[in-house]
Amino acid sequence: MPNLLAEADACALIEKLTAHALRVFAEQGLGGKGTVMPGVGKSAEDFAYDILAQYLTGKIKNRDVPYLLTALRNDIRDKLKSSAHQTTDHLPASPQGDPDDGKTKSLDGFQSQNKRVDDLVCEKSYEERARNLVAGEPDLQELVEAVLDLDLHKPAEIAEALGTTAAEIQARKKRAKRRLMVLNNQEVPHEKQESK
Amino acid sequence: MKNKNRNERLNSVSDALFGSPEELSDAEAAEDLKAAGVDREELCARMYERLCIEAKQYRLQDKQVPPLLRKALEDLRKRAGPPRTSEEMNDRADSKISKILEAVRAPLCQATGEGGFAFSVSYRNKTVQPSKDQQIIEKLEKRLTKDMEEEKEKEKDHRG
Repeated sequence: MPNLLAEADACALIEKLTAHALRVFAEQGLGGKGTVMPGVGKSAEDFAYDILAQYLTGKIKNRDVPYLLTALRNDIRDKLKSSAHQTTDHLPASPQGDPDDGKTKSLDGFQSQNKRVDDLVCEKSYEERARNLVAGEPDLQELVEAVLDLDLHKPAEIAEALGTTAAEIQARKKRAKRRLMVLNNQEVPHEKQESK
Repeated sequence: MKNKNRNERLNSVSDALFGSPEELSDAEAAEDLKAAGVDREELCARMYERLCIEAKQYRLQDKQVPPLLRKALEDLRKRAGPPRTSEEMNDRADSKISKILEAVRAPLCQATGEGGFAFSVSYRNKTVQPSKDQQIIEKLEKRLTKDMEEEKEKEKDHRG
């Protein structure tokens, strides 16, 4: 595996990690810079630092930048789920819950609408946030509906369904992300970080 | 395994809506940080300080600082740490002046999508710029360019 820092300087890597961590925080409705994950006490920057430090000290072996960004995203989501479990342990899980696959199935074998508490914390609220984010932006609404309702994930598939080009879909994705970052920065922070 | 599958699905939705990690370029990361209200210089300085503490732990335990950490500290020190030589100090001054000028130019360049100095044609709600305004603008542009050149000359003399 190539050494990342031989090709890119540390600042570029830090910026990518932090930008990505802030994006995941925004997607999860955790707030922007200076806010910390409830129950965990870490900011987006702290998560970015953790992955950076693990990489630089050899705890994560030499990998490419997308690998580090994906590891960072999973780390944030896993911590959020653990935190949600801790804070919602007193709430009952769905009555017919299957402890093995974590999803409730009805008798016909299809997945029912009942989901575990952590699913509600993550997936359902994630989709709601995505739909709210693009309210009033018809072309971005189309994108969100294609992804969430039609379950289309590849730009070419989405483009075909919407009768446009893959390049246009990529442009819409960038607009959606910019909107996410800007609006998240304007929102009232969820929990302000204590001064270090 | 369960968490992994859920993460994979959520990652796929996230990539489809906002772009995948592979698509994140250096320039886009910089724009994202700006949109999130993060100062890139300050961010690097904070990370540098934290990595210095990490490296210190290794030294305190008589261990060798991992090579990647050493390299990162070297990269960051050039930008975020205190300058060690007069040459580094001059480079920093150059960089600071360039950034100030970039900040001044940026809104003007964005208006036209060009790299040089230019003012928006919607200046003062007018669709066509009157020649008098244009002359003033050109005069300001020339003065700014002249100031920049003088600044560079001064820096060269200072180094020499």
